[in-house]
Order: sequence, then C-alpha cells, then structure tokens
Amino acid sequence: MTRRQWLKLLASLPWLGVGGRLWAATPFEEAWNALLGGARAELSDDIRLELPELAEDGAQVPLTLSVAREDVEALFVLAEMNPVSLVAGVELAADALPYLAARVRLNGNGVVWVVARCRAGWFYARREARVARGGACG
Amino acid sequence: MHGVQVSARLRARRLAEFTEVRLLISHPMETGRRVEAGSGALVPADYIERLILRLDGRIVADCRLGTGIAADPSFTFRLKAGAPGERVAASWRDTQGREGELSAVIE
Repeated sequence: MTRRQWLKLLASLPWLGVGGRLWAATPFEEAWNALLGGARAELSDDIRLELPELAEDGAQVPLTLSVAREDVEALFVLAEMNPVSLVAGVELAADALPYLAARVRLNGNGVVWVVARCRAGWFYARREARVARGGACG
Repeated sequence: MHGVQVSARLRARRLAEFTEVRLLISHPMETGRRVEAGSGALVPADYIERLILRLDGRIVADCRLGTGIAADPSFTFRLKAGAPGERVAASWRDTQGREGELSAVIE
C-alpha cells in the first residue's frame, strides 16, 4: 500500500472509543475511565482470557481472549502493571469472530483486563497475572 | 539484532468453524523507555501502532497497538468468513512512519 492509500484508509475509519489520552502513561483507573467514558462495564463469564499461570518472561507472554457473544464490536486489553495500561484495542467487523491471540508485555505481577464493547453495552473479565521476570516495559 | 528492515509472515487457513489468520512481524517494538546498555541513552520509541486486516479488500479488524505488545509481535485472528482461494491482507504502520503490507491466499 502506498502512503497515500494508507492515509486514505485511515481517514475512512472512524475509530470510536479510543482517544490519544488512553495511550499516555497514566494510572490504570484513568485509562479505564477514558476508555469507558463514564459507561458502566459488567463482569461477564462470556469473556474468556487465557494467560500462563506463571509467565517465565514478562516480555513475551502469550495471551488469548475470546467472547461467547454475537454482538461484540471491539475488544480492549489492559494491563494495570504496565506504564501504559492499554495494550491493544481491536475494532471488529461482522466477519471477524471476537477472538484474539497475541504476545504481550507484562511489567510484573498484576491484573490483566479484557473489555468488550458490545451492542448491549460494556463487559469485562479480569485475571491475575504472575511474571517470573518482569520489567519488560522498560 | 533488529535493523530497519521489517519482515513478516502471514498465513490463513480455513478450518471447520472459522478462518484462522496468523501474522508474525519482525519488529523491535521499542517502548521509548528502554535505556541502552553502555551508552545509557534512551532508545527512541519505535512500535507498530496500527494494524489493519482485510479480507478480499474489506476491513475485518482494525487494531491500535501500544508498547504492551511484545517485540516481534504475533497475532492470531479468527474470521467467520473466508473461503480457500480468497485473499487476506495485513497492513501496518509504526511510530517511525514505516509501513508494511503482506497478503496471503486462504488455504
């Protein structure tokens, strides 16, 4: 893709829900509030988040998430121990399943959150993560 | 180690319930907070901030990424749609303005 095509593509995408402030090094609560914009999120068993019991290397932690709902519009991963809490945000089209696997950095022990923006509202799941070797985000 | 050259691999397979798309990009994903051993200087931020996945030209996933994504990132997506022979394409851009694109035919 040429630079011009890229810019055209990006300009055509209304990226809802995520402003620049979210990607700043802010405390987790601020990132959470900026993401939800005052909306309430409900704890949901429909969201499945898989992480190793104890990650050997915080710089390379396999993470898998999936949501057993039909109305998921976007998925967000937050790690409260990281300098920048928001790890990734993914807007999904109807053709995509609410699933993502990726390798992430976890800057020590703490809670990893998955937030799903659905047509019916916001839902989340959380999981304690333990890392043998942290400091991965430095 | 990592140079300016960014290489990547993309594979898409149709399984019974979905099309699995696996993307691996060779990229340092520098956070901008790492101090180089020896010089003590901060290594400038250099990470992939945007990744777009398309199926036959239409966008299926639009990702914003931060410094919490590991170096040499790997992503797996699952698509409801996609038949063998259709084309999946991934495009990405990093904070240094480098762009990459790769496509693969669904197996």
